[in-house]
Amino acid sequence: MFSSEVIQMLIQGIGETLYMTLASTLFGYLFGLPMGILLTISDKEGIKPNWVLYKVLDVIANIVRSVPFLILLIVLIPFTRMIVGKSYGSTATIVPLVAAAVPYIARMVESSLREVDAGVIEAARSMGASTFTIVTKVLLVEARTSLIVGVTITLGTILGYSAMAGTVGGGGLGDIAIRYGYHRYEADIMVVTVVLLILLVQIFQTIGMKLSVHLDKRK
Amino acid sequence: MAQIEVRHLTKIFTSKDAKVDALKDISLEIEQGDIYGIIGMSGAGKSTLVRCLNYLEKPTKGAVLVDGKELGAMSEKELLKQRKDIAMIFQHFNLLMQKNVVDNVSFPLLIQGVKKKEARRKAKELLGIVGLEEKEQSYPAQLSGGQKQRVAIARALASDPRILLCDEATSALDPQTTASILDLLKDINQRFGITIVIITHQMSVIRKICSHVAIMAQGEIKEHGLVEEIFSHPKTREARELILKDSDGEHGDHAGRTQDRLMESKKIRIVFSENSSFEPVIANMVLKTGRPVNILRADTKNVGGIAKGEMILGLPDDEKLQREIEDYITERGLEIEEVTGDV
Repeated sequence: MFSSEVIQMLIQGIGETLYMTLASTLFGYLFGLPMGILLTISDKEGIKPNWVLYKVLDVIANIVRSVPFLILLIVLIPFTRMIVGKSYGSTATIVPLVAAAVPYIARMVESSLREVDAGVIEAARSMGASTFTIVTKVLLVEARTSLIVGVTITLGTILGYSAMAGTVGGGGLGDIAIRYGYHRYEADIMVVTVVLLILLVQIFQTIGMKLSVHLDKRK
Repeated sequence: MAQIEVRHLTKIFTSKDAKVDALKDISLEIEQGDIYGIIGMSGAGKSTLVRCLNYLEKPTKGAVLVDGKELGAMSEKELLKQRKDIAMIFQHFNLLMQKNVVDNVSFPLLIQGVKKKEARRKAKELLGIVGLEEKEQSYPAQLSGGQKQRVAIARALASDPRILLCDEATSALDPQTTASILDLLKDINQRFGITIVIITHQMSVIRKICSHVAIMAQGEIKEHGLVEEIFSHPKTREARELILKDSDGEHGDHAGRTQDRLMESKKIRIVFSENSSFEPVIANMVLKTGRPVNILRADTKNVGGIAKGEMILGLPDDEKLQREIEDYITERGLEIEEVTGDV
């Protein structure tokens, strides 16, 4: 149905999309996980309340999350150039993707950690556990199913964002959909890329949910 | 020197629009090896008090001394270390739901930096003590309430504590399970000499295992002392209410009816101590005076291995006869007190 070049291009598109999504999620968690943990513990109900820290992180998260991704993509171009050396292509897209992902992930992590039973945290405190121990051995362990569900949702969102980056030459399936489907009116290619994106989200979702159920020992 | 000494403890919770005095000038001494019960209705401040004993709650004023060391004067690090000596169990068990039984019991040891292998070995040993060795691979969700509390007790014992704080540890359990958990606590107290502080709203818990009791209401300790003393001479209204409530639970609803008649005439409470409750004192007295008395309430129970009891008599209106009856009873070595409207 498609020429081998088109198929080649689609395969490359899948590769780029996976690369952008997975790398951005990974870097996103590198910063978003600590940020989410800090938000949780510095909250006034948290284990180490710190109003100033909480407010600063809270405001940063809200600001970044209220800027539309497309705008963030453009605003960050100088910064992206500084880090990657260029502002187009899939590697360059990772920079704004991470920027958008970090506060999003931080909120996901915060809401997961909040679900942990306060009684269990109190029990750990009564045993003389330090804040660090409570975070690593109680919060992250008890909330792990919810955290994995969070990763799954994040992957889906980042995948969607990465497709949006196609409008400014970001590479990946979104880029193909816009260039061929939108600019060249090749609707069939656009449909195929959209179907591929749906399949990817479906796969992430299935794996994530299976994993989180498997790791949940509460039932 | 008392193992736990509480001096003029005050705790005030302040929120936006209210100030709550959770604890008002509490002083208390708990000796090594005691099983010390703190009883009160919900909201009396007993949970706050027990959390001050390991500084999970910082008191607003006053001091807590454990083995002569003041917790309030400790650095954060010293305090974390001190908590190794003061274990705690909870009403809702508070186990790690994502960890199996043996990992839950190992947990406090891992916090203290014990090697994983050594921690597991000790955890298995402790599971033997609480009678759950065959459940070591189970997860808390697969256990019954009583089994979960046993895991929590094993976990509490893991750090070789000298004090065990129990916060309503049996309140979520049925009566049989409660009894078996209390037996286990008593056994632990005797085997390891661990001081146990029990927070409860159930007088039956106090009666079953405590040596001492403090009665709390409105953030104050109304009365404290040996359990048998308090049971035989409850001085305060709060103590009498709790003791009365306890017997209601056991004897059904007769208390409501006797309470109406308690309003009639002069009433006295006779307290039986030691084994005197097996002598037919009242029957003999009635035979001697030739006048019947109205038994409004009679109740004996086993307190710490000694038969304790009390009886409330409604006396005839004749004052001379009243004195005669009272003399007769006191001559038999029994203690009496006049009972007023509120029993």
